[in-house]
Amino acid sequence: MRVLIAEDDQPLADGLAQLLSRHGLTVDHANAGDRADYLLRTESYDAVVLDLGLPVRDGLSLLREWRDDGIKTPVLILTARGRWPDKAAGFTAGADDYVVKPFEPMEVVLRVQALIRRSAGEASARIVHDRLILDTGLAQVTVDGMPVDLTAQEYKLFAYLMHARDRLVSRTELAEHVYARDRDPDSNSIDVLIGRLRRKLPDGLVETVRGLGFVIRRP
Amino acid sequence: MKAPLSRRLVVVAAITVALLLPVAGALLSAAFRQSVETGFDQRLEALLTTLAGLIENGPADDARLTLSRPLADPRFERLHSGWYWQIARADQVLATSRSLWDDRIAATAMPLLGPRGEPLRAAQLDLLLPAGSSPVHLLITGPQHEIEIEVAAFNRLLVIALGSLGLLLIAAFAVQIRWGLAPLRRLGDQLKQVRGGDRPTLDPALPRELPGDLAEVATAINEVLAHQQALIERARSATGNLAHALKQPLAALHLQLDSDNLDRPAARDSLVRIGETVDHHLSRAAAAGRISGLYGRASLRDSLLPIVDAVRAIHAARDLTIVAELPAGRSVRIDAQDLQELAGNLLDNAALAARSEVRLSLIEEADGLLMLIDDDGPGIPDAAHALVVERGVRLDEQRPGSGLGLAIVRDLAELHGLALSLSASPLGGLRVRLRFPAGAGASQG
Repeated sequence: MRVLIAEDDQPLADGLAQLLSRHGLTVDHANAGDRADYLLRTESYDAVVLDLGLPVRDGLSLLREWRDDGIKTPVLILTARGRWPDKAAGFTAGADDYVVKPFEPMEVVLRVQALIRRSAGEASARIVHDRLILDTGLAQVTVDGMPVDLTAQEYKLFAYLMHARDRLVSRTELAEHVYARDRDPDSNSIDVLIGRLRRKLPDGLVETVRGLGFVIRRP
Repeated sequence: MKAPLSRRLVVVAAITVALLLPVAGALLSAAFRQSVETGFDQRLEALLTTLAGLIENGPADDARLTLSRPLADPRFERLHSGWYWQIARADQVLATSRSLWDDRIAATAMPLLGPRGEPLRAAQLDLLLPAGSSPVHLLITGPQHEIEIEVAAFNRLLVIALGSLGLLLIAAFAVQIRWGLAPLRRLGDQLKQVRGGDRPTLDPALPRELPGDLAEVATAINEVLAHQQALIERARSATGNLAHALKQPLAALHLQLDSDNLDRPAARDSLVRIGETVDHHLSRAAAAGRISGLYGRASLRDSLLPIVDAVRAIHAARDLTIVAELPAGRSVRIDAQDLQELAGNLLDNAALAARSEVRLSLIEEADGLLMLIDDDGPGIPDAAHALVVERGVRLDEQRPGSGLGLAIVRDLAELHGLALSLSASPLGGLRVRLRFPAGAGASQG
């Protein structure tokens, strides 16, 4: 899962990026409104963490424009404007969630994860798939209750496929949602990751559709 | 500075009187003169008729004429009295009154003058005597100056009467204006005292002693003054409390940073406290900064629908039903943003506490509007209901964000004169009641 952080405060953005990647999310950072707009329109993100007081273009008008243009990526507004009239304005502009600074770091993680799940149609933080359970809150996968030891990259790839169950996911899409923008994977690395995942997970879970991509089918 | 109101009114009244009375006087005087002249002329006509009847018939060519008896009026005997008569045929004077002596009056001269040049008023008649071959001309005169004397006397009286009337009127106006403006002056004096710091508000008894329209003004002024006073006090206590609430955790944080082994949870707790304090005071400042909020009007539906949606979105991850009954076209006297802040906090609190349902409802009452916010959460003990909203317990001394987080709500309710109370909800949890008083608070529209 790939998240765009639009935040002009560098230490805060760094802390947030660190926090989100610790919990299995890939993070890009934009420090101004026009940059955030460019990234969201050219890259694929599963959620946006949006500061309202951005330089160049303010967050609220950006959000309004995205929604007008039919961009449905879930947006969490993260701002110091904590009054209810501000919150109402945020939701009216098209936000999906609203967190006021200063915030509990874990709350932002949980809310971003919940946004991604909701947009994928999953209600719970735990996606149960036969004997396997993906716990997005803990960034953990268990089979028959036994934790599976996955690297961060492996987990990100697997979580993305789980959220997209019953849908064919191309290699390009996987790469886009698993790798940050500045780290372009070589064409082979996705197949290497899939190979490692298959060895750690139950047989036949991740299917290859030759020439097209991968799919996990609901049991 | 311009002349005071009372002096202006008196000046206008005096000018009116000074313009109107002379005109009235001139009209009256003219009417009187006309009446006197008419009376004078009628008397002359009557005397002329009498004179004609007294002429003794003589021979037609006789140059002399006699009266059967003299005219009764003795003024025709007194020399140069102005009362004359004269009978002439062509240019030949046949007879005259004794008062005329040897003088003659030129009957055709205009104006008619007496022997001493005095102006005369006359009646004339041409009479054909039975014995005469040609008519005789009868002339009878009275002195014009008798009329002038009479008119002058009347005019003197008139000036005295109208002058006194004018003075009386102006005096009466002045009294009326002073008396009429007295309440305004009282209001003004008290306002001056307020401005000078001699009294905090107008005398609360003042509105009862003033006439209705001014009483409303006085009441409104008192409301504004009380509101202003409340704001000042809030600002004062807020500054004190803010200093206290910030310095305590800052000091703790300093200590923790300086100690050898940093106690992360404790440091985080200090940070959280600082953040909550800043939040709390910023909200209060935002509310207090809008003095005009007292006079705003907010549509309940337009203000609250976005808030309800926002609360729904924030709690979207949980399976919560948030029901809001908001009739269109209902408004209350409150700043729209403050109403949103109030409702947002109450709904958010309710949603945090609720198991599955939050309900916002409005109930019309005879003397106001009741807003109810119910949840089906655990609620709080009955004994604590009053304590949480009790007046006099300073909100800022409670740690902001702790417990029910009602601090901002209570501040705003107090600022806008809304009654806030808690009770058990029929849904099983807590019910918050917010009452908008009628007239001041709520109305259709």
